[in-house]
Amino acid sequence: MTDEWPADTLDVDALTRTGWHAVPFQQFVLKLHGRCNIACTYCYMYQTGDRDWLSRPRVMSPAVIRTTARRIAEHAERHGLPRVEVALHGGEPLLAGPVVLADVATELRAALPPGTALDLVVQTNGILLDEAVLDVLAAHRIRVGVSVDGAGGTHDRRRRYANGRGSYADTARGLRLLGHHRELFAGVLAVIDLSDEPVATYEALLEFTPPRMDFLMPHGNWSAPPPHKSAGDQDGPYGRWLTAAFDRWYGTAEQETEVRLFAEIINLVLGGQSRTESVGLSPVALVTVNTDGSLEQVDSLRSAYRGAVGTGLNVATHTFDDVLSHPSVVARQLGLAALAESCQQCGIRRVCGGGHYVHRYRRGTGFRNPSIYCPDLTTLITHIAGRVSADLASLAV
Amino acid sequence: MGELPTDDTTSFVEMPQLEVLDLLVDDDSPLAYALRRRKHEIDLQEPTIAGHDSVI
Repeated sequence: MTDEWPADTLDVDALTRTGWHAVPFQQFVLKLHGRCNIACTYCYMYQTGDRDWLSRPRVMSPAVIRTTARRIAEHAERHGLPRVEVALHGGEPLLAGPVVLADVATELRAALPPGTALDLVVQTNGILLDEAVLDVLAAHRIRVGVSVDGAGGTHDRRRRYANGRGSYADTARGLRLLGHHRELFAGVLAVIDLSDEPVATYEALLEFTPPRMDFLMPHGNWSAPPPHKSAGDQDGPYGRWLTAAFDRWYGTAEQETEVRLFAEIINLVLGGQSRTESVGLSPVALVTVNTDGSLEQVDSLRSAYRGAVGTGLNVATHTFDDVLSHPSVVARQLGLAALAESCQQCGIRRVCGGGHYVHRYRRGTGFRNPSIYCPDLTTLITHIAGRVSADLASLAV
Repeated sequence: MGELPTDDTTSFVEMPQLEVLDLLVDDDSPLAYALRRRKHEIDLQEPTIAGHDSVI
């Protein structure tokens, strides 16, 4: 028996009796394909020792797709949701092929109630993007986000095929094709590598003219720290890296693209809320459906410990409402109450929000800890708040 | 920047009077985008939820 929060110690029934109620899911991550055509060095799916993907179907079957669409529609109708987002993920979702992509879009649109709009996006490594695939994505209004780690050298060091060859040339070719379909282009995601220069990384990504981009901190926690971090370390190298990238992005007279993390922090600094799980206290309202219909939490939790994502529920036999009462789902909707005591006392708590949930994990106590990235987040947030504050003061004169 | 606020209902900075936004009509800087977004959110008053950071 462990004593980890929230899995072992959060009493959802008691919480419910106080009048608390869950926020319905509004983002559904469908693992359309359970394998990948590259092997990224930092991948939380395939490089963290969690091998459960080997026992699951490679592709989501038509039956699971149909049931999932029906469950999403049922959830949307029950909660009167005006909009839902469905993100096709993996593995590499484009490995499922154009027929499956078309099928999932068709099933979802047929199932959703008239008052619920669908935002459908696929998150891909871009390697399989060609004109035929883009035609299918356009026909079914599926927007495309691409994972690319900055300039070619960095990308090839970390995002490789099984034979060791880098994948940058193929991803870049896919991105250039996507650039001709602006209406489909959702943006690019890059995982930070401290060995790369931040401004050069930003500018390398900018060459693909994405409407949005985001920088992700590599997943890690107190028991398994990310690269260049150790437990108890007060240094904030990722914060400095991001601060340099922020200054390059923020210092332009005309915004070149939206950088999600920076835009969300500015909005929080202005008193708003965040739309990303990386910062802020907004309730996380997302759920994952695996290829076999298993209902799971956000899959980056795999970086914490084996089995962290599981709920024991399946879309064939359970509703999404059933998942809403899972302690680990509830924990991500509690806002300030989910934070460590030291975070609750911190001056930047509303902006930081304890950082990304998976970065708070410590074996034995669970997720009620500050982020392993606490010094980095403090560096970045105070810098952004300072710049915004100074600019607003000059506007008010 | 001064002392950080401790009240969770406040922002770090004073939200400028909305007239300031009139000065930013032709401004496409990141700050102008941010202020327009914030004003839009204030006008809409819709709850915000957080999405998966591995999806953009």
